[in-house]
Amino acid sequence: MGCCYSTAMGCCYSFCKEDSGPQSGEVSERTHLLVDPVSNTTNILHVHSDDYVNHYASSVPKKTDEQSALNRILHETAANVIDIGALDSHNLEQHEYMDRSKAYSKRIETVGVKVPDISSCLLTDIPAPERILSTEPLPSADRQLIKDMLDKAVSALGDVKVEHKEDLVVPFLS
Amino acid sequence: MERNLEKTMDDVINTEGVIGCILADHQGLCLGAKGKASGDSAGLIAAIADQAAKLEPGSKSPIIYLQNDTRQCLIHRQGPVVAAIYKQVSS
Amino acid sequence: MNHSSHWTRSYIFLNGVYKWKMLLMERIPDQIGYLVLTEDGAVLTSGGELENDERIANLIMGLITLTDNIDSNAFATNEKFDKMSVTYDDHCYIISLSNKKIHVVKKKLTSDGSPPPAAPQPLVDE
Repeated sequence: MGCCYSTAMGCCYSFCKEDSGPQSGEVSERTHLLVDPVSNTTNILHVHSDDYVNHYASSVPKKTDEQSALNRILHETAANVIDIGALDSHNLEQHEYMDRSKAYSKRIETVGVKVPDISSCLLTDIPAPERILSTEPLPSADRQLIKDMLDKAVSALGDVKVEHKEDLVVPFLS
Repeated sequence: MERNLEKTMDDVINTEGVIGCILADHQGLCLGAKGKASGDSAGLIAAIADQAAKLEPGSKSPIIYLQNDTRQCLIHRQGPVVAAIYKQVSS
Repeated sequence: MNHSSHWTRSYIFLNGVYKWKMLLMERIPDQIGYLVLTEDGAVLTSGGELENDERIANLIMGLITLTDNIDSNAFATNEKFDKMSVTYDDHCYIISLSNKKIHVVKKKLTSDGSPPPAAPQPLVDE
């Protein structure tokens, strides 16, 4: 029971690693910093779970199934883990963002697909808006042009009436 | 008679720089269009005039003016009539 | 740790940009109010008669997004404009789009429709 537990723990510990090979000899982040007092003072073999698996996997056949099942769990878990630490490196700097957006739009252009504009707008993006905003709103000649046109149009519209040319009702029999 | 409306538009279209003009009634129905102007735009220019008028409901209708390097567009309402004039920088 | 300092820096940077923008908008000759809006119409900065005026902001958003072509006979399919103005007898609104932000300035005008005679104000210190 104790062994199974420790095996499971080993798998959990090493689930970030692609292959859980033996590492008894090397010093790594998984190496115990403290010497295990139990394994030193008793005859009960209490080895690192990875070692246990590798040492005893072949000699204990019925454990193999358990090991492969645990490996399967390990791989499934690894596949489902979203590594937040790795995501951090994808933070884009402003210029990278611009480069990518340029590259993507160039690619879209070559393919010839037209990406539809979601929202319509009458205005185009311009640099230094303060320059445009400082100009006069409307040339006075244009202001006069449209005012005159409307004055004439309104009075012309008032003149529009039905011209009487012939009777609408004509007697059939007289 | 509508002859006067026609003449009004002819006068405008003969102004230097004007490439098209259009007159619409208060509902956005086209009263007439001359030059590079489509009668289909009558509803749109009336809608633009209406939207701009909402900025200050108490004031007289404003003149809407759009401009880029080569062309300009003027839209204005007076009473029951909305007019639009399209201009091009003559070079 | 790294993130928080990054965000703090961005915030200070953006805050600086907005203050700088406010200054530029305030120095436009004859302005009596201004708005800077995001592309979806949220007010970024505002001042004068247009301070926090979301009603005007929404109406102007409605105006510039009403269509993307007024008349296909007169204008090219993708033709856009640099400037839009809405002119009344004694004041006007001038609207432009820059860096994905909608800039609106309200200005006063003399009765003949021209800007009031005033000493030209330099936009940028030299």
